Amino acid sequence: MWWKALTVILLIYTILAGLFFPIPTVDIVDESVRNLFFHVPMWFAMTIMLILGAVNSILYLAKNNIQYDINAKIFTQTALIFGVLGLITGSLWALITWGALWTNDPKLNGTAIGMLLYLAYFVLRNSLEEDSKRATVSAVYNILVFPIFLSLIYVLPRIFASLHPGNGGNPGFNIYDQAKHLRIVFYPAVIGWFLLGFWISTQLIRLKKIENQFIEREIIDINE
Amino acid sequence: MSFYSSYFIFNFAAHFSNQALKELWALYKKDIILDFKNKSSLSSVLLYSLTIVFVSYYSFKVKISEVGPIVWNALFWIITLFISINAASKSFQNEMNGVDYYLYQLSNPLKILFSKILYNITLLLATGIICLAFYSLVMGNPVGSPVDFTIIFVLGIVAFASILTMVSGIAFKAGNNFTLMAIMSLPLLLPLEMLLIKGSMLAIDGIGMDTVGFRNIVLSISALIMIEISLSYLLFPYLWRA
Repeated sequence: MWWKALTVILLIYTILAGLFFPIPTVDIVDESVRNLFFHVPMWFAMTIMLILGAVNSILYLAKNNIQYDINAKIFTQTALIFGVLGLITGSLWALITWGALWTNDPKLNGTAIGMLLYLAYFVLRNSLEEDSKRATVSAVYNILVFPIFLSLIYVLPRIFASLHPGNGGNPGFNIYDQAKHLRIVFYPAVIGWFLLGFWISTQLIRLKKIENQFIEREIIDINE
Repeated sequence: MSFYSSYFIFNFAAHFSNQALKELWALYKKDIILDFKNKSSLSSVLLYSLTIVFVSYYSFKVKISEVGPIVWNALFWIITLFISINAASKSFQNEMNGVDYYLYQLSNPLKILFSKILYNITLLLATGIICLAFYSLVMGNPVGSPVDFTIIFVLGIVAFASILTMVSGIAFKAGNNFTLMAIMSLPLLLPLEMLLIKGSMLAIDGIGMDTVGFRNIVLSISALIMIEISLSYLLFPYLWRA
């Protein structure tokens, strides 16, 4: 599996280069700019995972194959893990640059609400017992919340004033980085963290498949 | 998939034929008549809204001149949000105990969806207007530009109705669970709520349609309504079949 090897290489490169690479000096941000290689890719990975989850939900409604429902659930689950990691790294960064672990920023609040939306997705799944009904209803919910989630973290911070770079009239990071130094690490980091998330998801999907096989075997045993 | 998708694409005009509109009207009328027949559900919605307004007023015990327009505005939209969720959670109550299977045979899911959206718009507008009147009576009314406030108010109610219809459909399929309805709809309505609070704050300050900021908010809310209604249009047939 070449992409698994690539994941390991990219992540080792990200961690080593991210921590020891020369970086442009900016007041206040200082060395904390290295968090760019850990905080921002989390959100990229989470968004791509959520897109994969939504696509699998659409595929379930189109093809009625329970496998797509399992995929959608697992991808959403991994996306939530990345979201929590993004919140933690972001909080640490905010403590250093903005002076508090949690600020009244539309992007932060939007993310928190987005997390609640997807936690409700799991509550909804647990409250339905029958497999095909649960798959259909939760697929409908997953597709319904996806545009709302996008508007929460990508549209609203641009309408309301946000502290984040590139939002609410703030400049993005690009203008401080004349040497394009950061990009040499940033793009591999994005790809590496996404591949890690995809890898975790495929493992979880396999685990779920084995679990289902065990349950089927037990049912057969009981019937015999 | 094939049945529904072909129905969507090739028979789109069929939704707006005379026969279809008659069916839609019959479904809409059925809900209204049932509500007036079984007065407990309608009066409980009304009483809930009056009570929650009075509780909010009594917690502050002051008029608008003391709390200021920001608190008045935020409190009004929080009250409207909770009243809407409470009222809309009953929208599939009449379909309990197997009536949904009967309707499934009689009519097309999209007609049921649109009749429910229309019904919810009517119900939420009625409760919203009563709530606004009572709220203004006890707390006072600081609105500087009533026309613009009305635009935001009606748009907000329509958006609440269109999102909550779909969410209550989902909650209905999960056993008409009110807690589930609340945890699903509160975060879903929050981006809308933020836009509404910002828009109606501008209307209270007397800034209206002649400014870009206000027009942008009206456009964003309209876009959200369009997205939600088109998503419901695509997804509700699957939900109704589940």
